[in-house]
Amino acid sequence: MTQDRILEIRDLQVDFDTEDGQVHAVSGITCHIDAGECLGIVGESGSGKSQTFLAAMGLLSRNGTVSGAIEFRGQNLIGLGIPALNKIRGDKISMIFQDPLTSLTPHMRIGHQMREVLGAHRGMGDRQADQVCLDWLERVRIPEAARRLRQYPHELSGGMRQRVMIAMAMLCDPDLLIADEPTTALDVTIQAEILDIMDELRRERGTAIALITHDMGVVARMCDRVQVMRYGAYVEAGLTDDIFYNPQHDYTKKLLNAVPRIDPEASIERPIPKPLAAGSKGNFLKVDNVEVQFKIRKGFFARPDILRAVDQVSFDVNPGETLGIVGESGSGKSTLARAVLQLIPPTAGNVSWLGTSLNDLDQEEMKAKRSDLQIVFQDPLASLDPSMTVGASIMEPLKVFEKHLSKDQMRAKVQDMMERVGLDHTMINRYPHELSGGQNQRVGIARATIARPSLVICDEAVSALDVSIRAQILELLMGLQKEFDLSFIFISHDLSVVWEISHRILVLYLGTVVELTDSDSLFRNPQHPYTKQLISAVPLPDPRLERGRARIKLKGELSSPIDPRARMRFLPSKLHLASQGYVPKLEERMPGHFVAEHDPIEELLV
Amino acid sequence: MLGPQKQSIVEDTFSSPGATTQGRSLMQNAWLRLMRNRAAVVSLFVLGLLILLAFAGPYFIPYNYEDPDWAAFRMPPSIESGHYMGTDQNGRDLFARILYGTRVSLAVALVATLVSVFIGVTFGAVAGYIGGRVDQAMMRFVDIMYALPYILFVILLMVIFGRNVYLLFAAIGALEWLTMARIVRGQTLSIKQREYIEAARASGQGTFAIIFKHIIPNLAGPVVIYAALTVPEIIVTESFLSYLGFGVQEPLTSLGTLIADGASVFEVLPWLLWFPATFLVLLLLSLLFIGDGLRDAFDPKER
Repeated sequence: MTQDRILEIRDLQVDFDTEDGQVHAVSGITCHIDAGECLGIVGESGSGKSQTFLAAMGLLSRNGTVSGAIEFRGQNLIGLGIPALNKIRGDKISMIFQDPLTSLTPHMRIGHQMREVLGAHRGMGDRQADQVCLDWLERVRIPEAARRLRQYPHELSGGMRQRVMIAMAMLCDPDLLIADEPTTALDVTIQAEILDIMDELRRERGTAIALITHDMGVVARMCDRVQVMRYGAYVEAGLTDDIFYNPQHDYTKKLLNAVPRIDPEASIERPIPKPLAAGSKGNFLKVDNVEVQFKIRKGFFARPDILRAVDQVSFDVNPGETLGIVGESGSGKSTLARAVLQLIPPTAGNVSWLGTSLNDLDQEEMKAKRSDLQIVFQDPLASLDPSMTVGASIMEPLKVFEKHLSKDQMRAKVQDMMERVGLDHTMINRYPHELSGGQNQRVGIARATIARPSLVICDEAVSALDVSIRAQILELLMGLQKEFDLSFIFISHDLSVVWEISHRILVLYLGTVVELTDSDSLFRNPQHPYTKQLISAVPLPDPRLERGRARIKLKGELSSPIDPRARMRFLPSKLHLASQGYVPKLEERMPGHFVAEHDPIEELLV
Repeated sequence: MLGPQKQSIVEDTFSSPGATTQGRSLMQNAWLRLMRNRAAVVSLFVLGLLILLAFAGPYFIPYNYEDPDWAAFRMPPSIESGHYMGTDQNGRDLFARILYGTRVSLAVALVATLVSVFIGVTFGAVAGYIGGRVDQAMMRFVDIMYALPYILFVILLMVIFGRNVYLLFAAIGALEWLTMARIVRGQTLSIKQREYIEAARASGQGTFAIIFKHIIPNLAGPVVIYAALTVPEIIVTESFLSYLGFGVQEPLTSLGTLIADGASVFEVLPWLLWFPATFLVLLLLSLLFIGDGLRDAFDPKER
C-alpha cells in the first residue's frame, strides 16, 4: 500500500449557533486517510461523525462555524471560496448519502444528472459523457444500463438508486469517497452487494473511503482502521482488529457488547414460555390462511392491479412466547401485523383469539378485545401524540378499558408503569419532543402494556434506536415478558435483533411464508435458499470471521409484489403455474420446522 | 428536529430528584418563539393599543359618533376645538367615528373568523379522517360552494339578512370557511398517517374521540396561522363591500365606509380619507405581521 496521504484533519472544531445556545458538534478531531484505505468512523447519532465530513466538503448548514485544519493533499479546505471548493467537490472528493431517493433530483433523468457532473468537472460533451456514464453503471452492476440512463429516479429501486449514486460519485475518479451511512436505508441482501461494490472500487482504483456508520458489522467487513466517536470527540482509534478484539475504552466495549450477534452456538437467556396446558394448543392466537390485498388503480377504465401484500399466511402464537417475523422491505410484515390486530381488515382467512374469530366481530366487540392486543411502533416520536404529555398518552388505554378507576388511581398506575419501564415518574408532565428516542420508546411500551394485554406486537420497535439503547429496550421487553407473561410478535428487518429475542421465527418473502421454525434451528440449519442468503448477508461484528465468510448470491432481485411471477423466484421449475396464483406450499421437513417448497439451491445460485 | 433515523444520544436513564418536572408543550414553545420575533411583538403591541382605543376611547372624548356638532361643519383637525381629527360634512367628530368604525371592523372580522374556524375545522377534520366516499361528497360540496360567484352570494345574503350587519358577516364567515376546510383536510390526511393515530385506534378509541382528541389539537399550528391571516382578509372584504354600499349602513360606520366617504371628497376635505386610511393600514399591517410571526413560530424550519 502506498503511503499517500489524501486527507488530513487537524484539531477540527464545528460549532452551531442554535436558539438554545451554542452546540459543540465536533470538538478537536484529528485524523488522516491514506490512498486505498478505508477508514471507519463509528458512533451513535449525534456524535458528530457526519458533521466532520460535511465540514470537509464545505456543506455545513449556515449557522455552523469551523476552526482547525482540513487538508486535502496539502491544501487547506477551510475558508476556501465556493468556486475553488467546487473544483474539488465531486471531482477529487465525492460523497454518498444515506437516503438514495432524496439525494437524486427527482425531475432529472439518471443520464442527465450524471452528465452534469462530467460537464462541470471535465467539460465533456454529451456523447462522450454518456459513454463514461454507461461504463460506470455497468461497473456497479446495474442491469440494462443503457435503458437506465433514460429513466427517472423514482423508476429505480432503492438498491439500484444507491448504485447510481456510487457510480455518480466515482465518475471523475475521485481520490476520496465519503460514504455517510450508505447502506442504512437498504435491506441486508442489497447492503451486502453495495458493500461488495465499494470494496471492489477501493481495491481496483485505490480510492480512499471514509465510511461513516453506526453498524459494527459493516465496519468489521470493510474497514482497515476505525475511529470511535462520542460527543464530538474520538474515544478510541486504531486498527480494526485491535478495536474489535482488544478494545480499551469503556464506551467501545459497551458499543461492542450492545451489538446483538447471530451465533447459534452461544446460548441466550430468553424468558421460557409456560408449558401449554393439555389440549389448549392453538387456542391463544391462531392466524389461518390470512390474505391482504390492495387494489392499485392504473387508470379510470383499466382494471385495477391486485397487490397481494400478504398471501396465505398461517401461524400460531403460544402464551408467553415470542414469535419473530423477518423480511425485507415490501415483504408485508407490517401489513400482516395490522391484519392480525384488524387495523387493516384481512381480505380472506381468519384470525382467532382465545378461540373466537376476530373477523366477525363488530366495532364495539373488537374494541373490548383491544385491551388484550397491543402494538408498539417503529418511530418512537411519531407514535406519540405531540400535543399530549407522556403521562396522558400512557393513561389513554386506562381511560378506555378501566373507566371505573378514579383519576388519582389512574395517575398512580401511570407512575408505577413509568418506573417499571425505566422512566422517572417526575417526567409525567413532559412532552414527547422533550424526550430522547429511547425514552419515547419506553413511553410507547408503557402505553402498550399498562392495560395488561396478553399479546403485544412490536413493529420494528427498536429499529430507529441506537445500538446501546436498542439493547436496553430489548432487555426491558424481555423483563416485561417474564413479569406479565406476555406474548410478543416481534417484527424486524434486522435478523440479529429478531434472533436475540424470539423463540420461533417466521421468514416472509413478498407476503408468503418461506420458513418457520424455532430460532436456534433457523440459524443452525436454515433450509430455504432465501433464508440462507439472508443469514449470509448479515455482517458479523467480528472482522476475522467476517472477512473469511462466503456470501450466498441468488439469481434475481427482490421485485414487485404485483408481479405474480416474483414469488416463484425460488421455484422456477413451476413458473408456468404463477399466473394461476400458485403459492409455494409449506412442508414440514422436521417436526416444527416448516419450509416453503423450492428448487435445489445449486440451480438458484448466480 | 431529528428524523426517525436519528434519535438523540441523551443517556437513557436519568433521574431528576425532587418534584415533577413540568414540560413545555409545542404551543408554549411556539409562543416563546413568537415573543422573540421583534416585528410580531411590536405588532401585538400596536394591535393591543388599537383595540384599547376602539373600546375604551369613546368614554374619554366629548363627542358621539352620530350627533352633529352644530358649531363645526367641515372643520379641519385642530387641538383647540377638541375635534382632533376634524369633522365631516354633517359636523360629526371624525375621531369618534373612526374609533367606532374600528370597533365594528374588528368585531365583524372576529365573528366571521370564528364562524369560519369552527365550520372549517370540523368539516375538514371529519372529511379528512373518515375519508373515502364521505370525503369525496364533502369536498365536492366545498367545490360547488367555491364555484358560486362571491359577490352574487353576498347580494343574495343581503336580501335574506337585510340590515343586520353581524348576521351578514357571520354569513360571510360561513363562506370564508371553504379554504380553511381544505387546509384542515390536507393536514388531517397527513396526520392520519402518523403512528400515534394508529396507536389510538389500537387502544380501542372511537372515530370521534380520535378526531377531537388527537387530530384537532395537532391542527392548532396551521389553524392559528390561517385564522390570523383571515382576520385582515375579512376586514378588507368588509371595507370593500361597504365601499360598494353593501356593508354597514348610516349612521353606523366602519373603516371601509369612512374611507369610501372620505375618498369622494378627498380634494376638499383630505383629512376625511387620511385618518381612517391610516387606522386601517396600521390594523392590517399589525395583523399580517402577527400572522407571519405565528407561521415562523410554529414552523421554525421553514424560515
